[in-house]
Amino acid sequence: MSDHPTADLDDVVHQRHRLGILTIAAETKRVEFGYLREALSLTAGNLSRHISVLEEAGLLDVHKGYDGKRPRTWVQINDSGKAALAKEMAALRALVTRQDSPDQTAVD
Amino acid sequence: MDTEAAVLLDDLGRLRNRTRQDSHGYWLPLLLFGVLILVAPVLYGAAGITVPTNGNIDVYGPELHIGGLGFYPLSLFTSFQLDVSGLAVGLYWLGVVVVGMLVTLAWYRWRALRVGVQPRTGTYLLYALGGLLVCVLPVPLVAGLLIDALGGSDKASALLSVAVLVVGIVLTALCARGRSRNVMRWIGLVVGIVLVLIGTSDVTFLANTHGYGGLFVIAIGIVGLAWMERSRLCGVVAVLFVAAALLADLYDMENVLSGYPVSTQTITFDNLVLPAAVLIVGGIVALTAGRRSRQ
Repeated sequence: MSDHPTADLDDVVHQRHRLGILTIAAETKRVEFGYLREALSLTAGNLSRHISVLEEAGLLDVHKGYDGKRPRTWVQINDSGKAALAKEMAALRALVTRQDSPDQTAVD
Repeated sequence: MDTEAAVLLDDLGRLRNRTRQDSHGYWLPLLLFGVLILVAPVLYGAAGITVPTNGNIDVYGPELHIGGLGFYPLSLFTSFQLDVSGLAVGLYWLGVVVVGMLVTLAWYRWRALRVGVQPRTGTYLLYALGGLLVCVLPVPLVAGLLIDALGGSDKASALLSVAVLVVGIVLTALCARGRSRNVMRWIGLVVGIVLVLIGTSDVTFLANTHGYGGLFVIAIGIVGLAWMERSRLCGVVAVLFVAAALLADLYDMENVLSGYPVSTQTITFDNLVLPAAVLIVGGIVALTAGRRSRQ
């Protein structure tokens, strides 16, 4: 069993855009689909696929509704999503710390 | 891989900051509460006491009874030092806090539909509503019961109340940290919480010399707002406002601003102008900073 920080990286969460979605959602109570698309510079189709992956993994809750006649999709991170994000961030920080301490890198 | 991780962390940090900037909307509640505080002197001028035919002067507002114990829930919002109706000014501050809280929640909801991000308003609600409930129920009740037992409202009593509060905080913190199921730990925790309640009630009551307890409730709400928004600027405004609120309640600002006071309205204006100015200036600075960052 490797103790290398990459072992803690989760393929579902580690993907750059999915990590971005979770990071933005973790800062808010809920975030709208259009905001995510603009902030991450993604097409609607791409964003929709990433959100579906995170929703199926049980990390996000998606609520669809209307603002007047305009359809709105709101994304909300849940406790599992927060935990997964925290674990991923810790693994990324561990990787960076490893890079900054050459002694440990040399041993591996 | 490691360099890639560093770049990714930087990008995520930028995304996080951008989201926080976009969700900032605290300038409106700051301006709103600032203006509502500034309007108060007009009401104080109009709410002069008229002695009713039964001779009972309404200084502390209506009395409430819980289980045979009588107390004045609006007593933190008024003062015997000013010749104003406790009911009128008490209801004004209650209205300021409740209406301000509802407008703030509606503002964040409306803003979320426009911007696309909604902050966790539950945090603000917890602070604002919690602060209001504490100031109208346990503080007047406990302080009313124990203020005489602790020696009245002199300096020694104030020091005793602060000592009770500090001992309560230390005891609660020590007992809350342990994980054992020891009976003594639970007894210590209960005693600590009771001491914190007594100390907080007495200190708040004693710090309310001029009857502007409404400012304390607003201050707790703004601290909650700063926490919810993760904003340093809002945090600075909250700290300055707490200092200004304490000054308004403890020091006779009319001595500095007007010299010899001529009316209740002037005294009230002199005491409230600094806390109101802190919020109004803070709100304008936040609005300007928000517009600049979006450009």
